[in-house]
Amino acid sequence: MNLAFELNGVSKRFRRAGGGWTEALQGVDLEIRPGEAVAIIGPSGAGKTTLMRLLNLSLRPDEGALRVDGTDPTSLSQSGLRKLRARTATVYQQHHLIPALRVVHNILAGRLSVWSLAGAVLSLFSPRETALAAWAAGEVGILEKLWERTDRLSGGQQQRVAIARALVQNPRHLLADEPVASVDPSLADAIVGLLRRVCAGDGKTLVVNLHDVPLALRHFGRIVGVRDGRVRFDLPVEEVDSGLLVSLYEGDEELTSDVRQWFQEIFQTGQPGLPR
Amino acid sequence: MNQAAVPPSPGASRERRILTGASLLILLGSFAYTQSNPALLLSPEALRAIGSFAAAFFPPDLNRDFLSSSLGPVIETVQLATAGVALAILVGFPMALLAAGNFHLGGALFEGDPEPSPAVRRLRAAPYWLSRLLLNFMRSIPELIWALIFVRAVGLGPLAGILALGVAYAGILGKVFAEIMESADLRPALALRAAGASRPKVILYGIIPPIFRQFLSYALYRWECAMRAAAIMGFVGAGGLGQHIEIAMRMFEHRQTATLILELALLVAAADFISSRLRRKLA
Repeated sequence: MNLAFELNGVSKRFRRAGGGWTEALQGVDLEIRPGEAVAIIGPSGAGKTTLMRLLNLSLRPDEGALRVDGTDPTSLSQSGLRKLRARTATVYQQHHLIPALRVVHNILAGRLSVWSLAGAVLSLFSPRETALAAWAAGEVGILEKLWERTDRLSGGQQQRVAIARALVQNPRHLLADEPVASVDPSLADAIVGLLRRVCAGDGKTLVVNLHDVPLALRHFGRIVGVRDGRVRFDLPVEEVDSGLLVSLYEGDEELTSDVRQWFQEIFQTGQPGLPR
Repeated sequence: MNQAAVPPSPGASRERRILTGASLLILLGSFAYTQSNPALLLSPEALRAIGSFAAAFFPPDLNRDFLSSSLGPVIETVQLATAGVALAILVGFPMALLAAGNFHLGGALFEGDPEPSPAVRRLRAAPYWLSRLLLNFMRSIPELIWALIFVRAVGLGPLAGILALGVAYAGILGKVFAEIMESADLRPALALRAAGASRPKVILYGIIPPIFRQFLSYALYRWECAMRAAAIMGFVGAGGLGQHIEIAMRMFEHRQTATLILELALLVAAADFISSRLRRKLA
């Protein structure tokens, strides 16, 4: 069976605004099997978002090889590339929904890769496949918001809309880039739990970028630590210890009270699956 | 009172002083060159002439028959402006889709896609340059000139006015719509692209809905401007109030002219009011 995602020596750099280059990722090797659940952690600026954008084929590596379901995207035509992209759904931090449209349209936007252009136009006036949208909205617990304008919803509710959109896309793989950065902690746990549940149900691969380390350790069996564009560790959660976490975050200007608080939380709780 | 030493002001920069001097020279030079002397306006005979001319307009003709007969041109002006802007939207919006560089030339909406061959790249850019060129041409010719042309082409009357407004305003709307699309937040669109949607669908869902109100708001503003433009175009026979003002002036019916001008002012004020109310609602 093909790997879901396979990166060999992948590097990606961006032109900096003031001139020069930023090395976002350098020589990254990563293999993710279909149906696996992986959390990617690391300080901000580590390259986690770039990694997501490579995995969902929004970017191409500058160096190295990337395969999705065993397919090299650079070998594909434009339409072949679109079909491969449609297999992966992505949930973003925020600001990636269409604020001016109703929830039903934002959910159904997950069907755009399947619909004809004419069908997509008509649906803006008279939504099609509403039963499918209602099912997805129900799955994420926002059925009663189906006909509301999306920008009237709270951050947590909008995140559920994004997950519902991913559901109607019916992808093989689901990526989430900081899906809970804009919601409060209790809600964050519920949303990550929801992502786990919808993927575990029918064996979808799940890769999540998380800024919140305790959350990652609670929900995921495999943890990938990224810093300065490199994979620092890639381990089962049981083998992640405080030393690794400290070295992942230490010396970073982002090591704020937030991060210290996480460490305290991690080290004080003796739950299984948490590092000692 | 607290005081502190004032750091020395650097004064105006050299470039700025040169620019100011040059602007003044150009201003004075234009008066001299056109041989216009504002002081002449204030001479006694000029003031007398102005006074008697102005007096001929008073009081405005409020005869009931004339008022009811002038209602037709007022309505025609509204229709002309509305139909003209509607035509401008119908023509300008599709052209704006072609003239938005971020949809055709490259950038974030193309990232990760197969690298096109130079021939394909040129082919993709052709509609962009063509529509830009055409929009510039339509816009750079004032609606009054377009009206003159269309009066020759389709004859006197409001149709010429509608076509003139339609073409000139399509040029303006097309450019502004394209610029709004070029500065749109791309994040919703990029999310759809990553999920495998084709570019037309990405634009249809991810770009247009969030900025639709900006389009409407700007089109309303243009409708307001069209009302004024419609009145002017009447002078070259393209229908509406202007045509009647021109006829009244030529017949030396100054009091009727005054009534028509007042009606025009009221109409423009009403359009301003309605459009700004609607636009505030849209904002």
